[in-house]
Amino acid sequence: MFYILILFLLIFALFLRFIVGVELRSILTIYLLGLIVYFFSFAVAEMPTFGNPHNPAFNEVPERYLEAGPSETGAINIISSVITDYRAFDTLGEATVLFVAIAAVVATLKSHRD
Amino acid sequence: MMDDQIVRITSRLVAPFIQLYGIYIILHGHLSPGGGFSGGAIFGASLVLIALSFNLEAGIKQISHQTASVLESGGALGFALTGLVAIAFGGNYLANRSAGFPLGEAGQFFSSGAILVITVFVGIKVASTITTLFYNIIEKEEPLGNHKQTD
Amino acid sequence: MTDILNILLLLFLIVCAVAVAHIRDLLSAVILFSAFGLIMAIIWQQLGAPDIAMVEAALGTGVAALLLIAAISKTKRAE
Repeated sequence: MFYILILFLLIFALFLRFIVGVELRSILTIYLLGLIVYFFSFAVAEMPTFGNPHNPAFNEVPERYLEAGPSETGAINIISSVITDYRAFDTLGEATVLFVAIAAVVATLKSHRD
Repeated sequence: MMDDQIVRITSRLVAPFIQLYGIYIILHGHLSPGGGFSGGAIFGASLVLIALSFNLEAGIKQISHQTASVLESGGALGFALTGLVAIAFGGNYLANRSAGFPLGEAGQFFSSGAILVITVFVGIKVASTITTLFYNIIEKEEPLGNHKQTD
Repeated sequence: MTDILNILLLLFLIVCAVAVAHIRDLLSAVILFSAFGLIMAIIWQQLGAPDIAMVEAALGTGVAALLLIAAISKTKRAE
């Protein structure tokens, strides 16, 4: 089966090169991209299904947040309680990134004005 | 920038509702989906809409450069100071319940202690960031020079 | 029914992304990028993340496109 596939690909490459007239570079590029897609499709097939409660992302940490979040933080929006209470330092870093970005933009755009 | 009457009247009608929606999203960040980033982005987009449909002067009348920079720094500074207040109350940095912020009853508006304060500061920061970015890119060289001289 | 909608949205997303990379006119590319952001917002909503959908609809569709248009108006429109 494998040899038949390789034989088919070779014949197809010869067909493309000499009958259709595609360059050898393009044929090699197409085959390389096909190989990458072939291996990536394995990775996609291994991915867990969306919303399955047995996914590896759904371990004890979200369970803890869902159970104790409203009583520990007082917010019924669990996402809000995670990003501004449990992981508030992370959000502070995000705000700092925004601040540095806007400072860089203003410094760049206004530097040649005065 | 754009001299079209339909666009001007439509955006004048729509902009207050967008701003109200943005403020609602910011203030109800602990109750419903949304929060500082979403609400701030919506509020900043409404200010950008005003500046785009009228002209830059109308946008600057809404929020001037000075106000924008004060809000910009004040948002980040207030966020950091909220963490320091938690330390002063005897908790860790940015702690909420362990520092003694009043949590209230879950589901009410005045609940969740420091989360509401932090969300408001993040919303102010994001809105002023978007506005400052747009004004700085869109404005030309000469009007700002005149603006500075009149100041 | 939702699967058909999701597949259609993903197809539109891929078409928009390829078109953004291929088109020569920069203003058309910005409008296609804005359409990309809008489809992405609907996909976030379908994935159960409404707050990210709001950020994407406001930032990715509106403000990013406006900033890019502002940059185009300062420079040349053709690539």
